[in-house]
Amino acid sequence: MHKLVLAALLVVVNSACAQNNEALDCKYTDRVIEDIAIPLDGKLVEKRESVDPNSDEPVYTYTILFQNQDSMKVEQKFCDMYNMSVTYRMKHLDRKEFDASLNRIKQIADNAKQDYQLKAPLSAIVDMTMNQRGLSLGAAFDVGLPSQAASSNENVEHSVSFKPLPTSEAYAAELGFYFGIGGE
Amino acid sequence: MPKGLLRPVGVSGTNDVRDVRLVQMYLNSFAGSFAPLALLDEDGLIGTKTIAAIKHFQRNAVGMRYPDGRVDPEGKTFRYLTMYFSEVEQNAVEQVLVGASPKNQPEPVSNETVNAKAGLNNLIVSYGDIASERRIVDPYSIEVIKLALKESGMNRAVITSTFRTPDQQARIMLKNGKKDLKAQFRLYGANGDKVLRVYADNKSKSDDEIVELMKNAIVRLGQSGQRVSKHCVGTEEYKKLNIFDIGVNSTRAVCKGFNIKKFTSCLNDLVSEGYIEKLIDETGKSNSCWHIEIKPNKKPLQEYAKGSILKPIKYVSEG
Repeated sequence: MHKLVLAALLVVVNSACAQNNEALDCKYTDRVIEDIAIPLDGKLVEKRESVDPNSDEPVYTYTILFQNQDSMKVEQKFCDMYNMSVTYRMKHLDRKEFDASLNRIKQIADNAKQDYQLKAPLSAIVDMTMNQRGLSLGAAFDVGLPSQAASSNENVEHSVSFKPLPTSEAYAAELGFYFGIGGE
Repeated sequence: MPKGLLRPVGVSGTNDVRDVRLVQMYLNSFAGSFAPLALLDEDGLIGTKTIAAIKHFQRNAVGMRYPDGRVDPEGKTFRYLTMYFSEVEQNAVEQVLVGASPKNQPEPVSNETVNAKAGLNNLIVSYGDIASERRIVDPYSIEVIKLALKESGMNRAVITSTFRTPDQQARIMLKNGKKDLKAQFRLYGANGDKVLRVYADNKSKSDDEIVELMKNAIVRLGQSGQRVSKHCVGTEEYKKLNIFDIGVNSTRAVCKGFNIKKFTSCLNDLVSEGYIEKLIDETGKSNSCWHIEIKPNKKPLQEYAKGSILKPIKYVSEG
């Protein structure tokens, strides 16, 4: 996989973020990779640093566009916990595209280099979860993934969501993935 | 590298005892995660119950509309059966198979024998400030903790947290949210944040009304497999997997020979040995505890004998 390292391009550090890290004594600060590697067929179009108004946690947000015109928004939020949220918008929806999107999401999660490793391809874990819960791509869902699907020495919370976008002209569906480690 | 399944199991399969037993063990690992899949005897004998369980798994987990009741070594059913097992965990499962052959199988030992031979009777695992209805940690789990006490040269441990009902979880989150809501948003993951937002959006209501709304949100999340806290589980689920914290300060206050590093090291050894499912070392965090998850009776406790199940105490590393 080609890794696009963006360190040289993104040297501007948001001072508010840095101050917040210090003020909050965030234990994850040194464990977060600021410039995550982007999958080969993707291109980073925006990176933002901000502060979550609910928690004052630093947030890194990346927007990635893929060659097939799918888009992905990745958010790393961290302090007492490390949280990664991915919102993936699919241009076309079928089972093959759905699985391919999950594989791209897994690449991003792996590239974050946290103490979180899925034991199988995300597409297979989601498939089994959908089968167990009687879910299909015909309707929206938001479900937790089994804790035993991931290895970690920390507390893990992870989930996947899906919703068709029938009124959108740009995208057919939106896929969400979240994992958090640490915390309560 | 795990050997996996060597020959087909189930309808028209070769059904070697070793392979059937392996499939039965993996099927049993899913028991309770989706109903109704009853526990199978892990006897290595193929029969109607095992075939029915294979078909149930194929229909409800693999997604086969027409399950064939057969598990092939390279097939999707076996891949899905082992999906939540890392290579190391699959090796551990296969080790149990080797150890369980009639000539290698040790005699089962009762808790009383383990206690008497190991001198565990004098060790105490007690509860801290926990309501009686939540003092339901299985005796097996208590024995496992006693082994860690014995190995680390300590004599007491105090359980400071077990499970929380949605109502209790809501009350804790409301109480702490009132003190410092932002800190609570940092402490909880996405599921907890959804519940905290219920509080944030309803501050003008009475505490009882807010708790009810938060509790409902926790229950709804639970129905879709989303847990707010690692302690927030139902009693039936809890009986299958005991989740509890041993408090550092509570234990230090009553324990002779208290040693954080040795006790942590022994708990880690019990994880490696397969007695403890998960250990989260939170001794350096604000809640200062060992978070422990144990499946009752998962692995029989062996006779402690002269030496140690783990290591002789003088060799216990301090990490």
